[in-house]
Amino acid sequence: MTETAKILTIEDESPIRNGIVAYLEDSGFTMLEATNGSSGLELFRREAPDVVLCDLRLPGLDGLEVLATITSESPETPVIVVSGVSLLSYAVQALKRGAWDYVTKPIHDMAVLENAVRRALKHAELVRQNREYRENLETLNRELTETLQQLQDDEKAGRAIQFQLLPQDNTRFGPYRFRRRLYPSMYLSGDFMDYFPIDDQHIGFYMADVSGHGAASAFVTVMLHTLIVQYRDTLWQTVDMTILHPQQVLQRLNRDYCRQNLDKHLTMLYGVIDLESNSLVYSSGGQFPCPFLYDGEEVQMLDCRGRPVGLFDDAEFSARQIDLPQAFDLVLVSDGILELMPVDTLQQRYSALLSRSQGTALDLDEMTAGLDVLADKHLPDDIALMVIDRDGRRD
Amino acid sequence: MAGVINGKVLHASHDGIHVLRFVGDIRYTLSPSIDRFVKQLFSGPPPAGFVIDLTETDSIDSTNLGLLARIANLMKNQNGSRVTILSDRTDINAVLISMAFDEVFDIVSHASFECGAEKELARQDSDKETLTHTVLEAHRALMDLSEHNEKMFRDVVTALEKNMAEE
Repeated sequence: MTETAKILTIEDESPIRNGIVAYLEDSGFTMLEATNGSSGLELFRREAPDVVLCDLRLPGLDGLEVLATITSESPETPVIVVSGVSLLSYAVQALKRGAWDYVTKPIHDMAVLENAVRRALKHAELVRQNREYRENLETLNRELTETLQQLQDDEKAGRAIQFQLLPQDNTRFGPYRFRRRLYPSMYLSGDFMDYFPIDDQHIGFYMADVSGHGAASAFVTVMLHTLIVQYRDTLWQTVDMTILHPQQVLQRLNRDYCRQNLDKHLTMLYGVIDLESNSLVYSSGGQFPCPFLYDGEEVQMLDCRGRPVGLFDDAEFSARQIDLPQAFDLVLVSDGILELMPVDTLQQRYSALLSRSQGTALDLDEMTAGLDVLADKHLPDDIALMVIDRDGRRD
Repeated sequence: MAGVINGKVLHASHDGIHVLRFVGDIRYTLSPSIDRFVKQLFSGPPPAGFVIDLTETDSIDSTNLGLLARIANLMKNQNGSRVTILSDRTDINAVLISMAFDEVFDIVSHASFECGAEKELARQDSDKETLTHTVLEAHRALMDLSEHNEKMFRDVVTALEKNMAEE
């Protein structure tokens, strides 16, 4: 200890008390003295000594009482009991009541007392440090828990916005019906999709998967939504027909994203359905797995090889066209599903579900349950699902 | 599962040809280290050739696929050569093909390397002569490293940590 420690001695026998005070003062301690229990307690409360030396047999307030009072009021203050050998059983009681050490009277070698004092001071210091350390940890823990809660609340708010941007489930455009499900792996999703009428004759739709996870990827989905809305608007404002041509949409998105240097890329598929010719033109930037087309008889996987968007400045995208059957289901699903099962299993399960439903339109919730995608299950990656169907019989 | 890091990235080089070997499940947790490593590598004289070995890769996520693309872009911009990807796992190849990475990288399998692929490659049209040469050089370097100098592969993450500790 660098500062001078304060020691209070409560001892009624003057020679002993004076001896203790003189010796310990010489050793460099600041001494306080009291001749009985009550004045000792008063002094203790006023001066807050670092160590208390207390005789057991005191006039008035008993030594054990003094000890009990001090240890209850200040559990971290060491109390060393000084007692005559004939009162050994009292000394044992004292230790049980919280005394830190016990020195027998008469004290033949003051060094013993001094050592006891120094030991007690060291121990008290350790106890104090330990308590401070623990309190610090508890504070940190509380702060971390609060911060975590804030982050989660933030993410929940973000998620609510993302879900607001999604199109309404179960929407019809002419004879075509669009349904969708989104299962994020965390609060925020790197998957996104949309479907919308472009004009009287055309419907546009897309599904996208942004690389990575969390907030950064979620931001990029919002950016995508905004860009597509822009391309839609320019059709009316400047007769820019990009939105009608999937290959051009991906080309433009690729340019817009590469320019931003975001360190994020997207795999996506963008398609346009022509209501007059009932055909689909689509362009894929690495959409995986490829969409399934069910025409009432067999399941076919659409060809959708292509470079992702936002990865290569010089990427070129191509469009493919297919005629849509009178009755069909077109299922787009993001690659999160492949964390649950490999592609062939996915195709098998889907075919099995179709044959079980015997030609009637698949219930989306049944389908997702049949594919092991449950809303409350923890997913390693986001899963997005979109089903476009047309029931020829209703025409 | 997301917390388990069981993937690692190893690096070795020989005569200016660099090999990055991806082992296990390559998740986004490894990306910052690989990213830093690649930046350091390309801050000096560009590699003469680059091989990415995915033969021991169980899975590779989108963030790291983006990194592969970045390496390809860097090589293309700096010395015009293509990066070779060594891959013979069907599921890994499926992902690479879906993203049309075969248009950007030279994707080869061990088998094609061993069966005198050099001759086949040499027969391709003269446009691709330079890239054929790169693939052959890369092949030779890789075989040399694998057979004789397996110990020369260093774990990228620990190498970076050591560098940082020494700074």
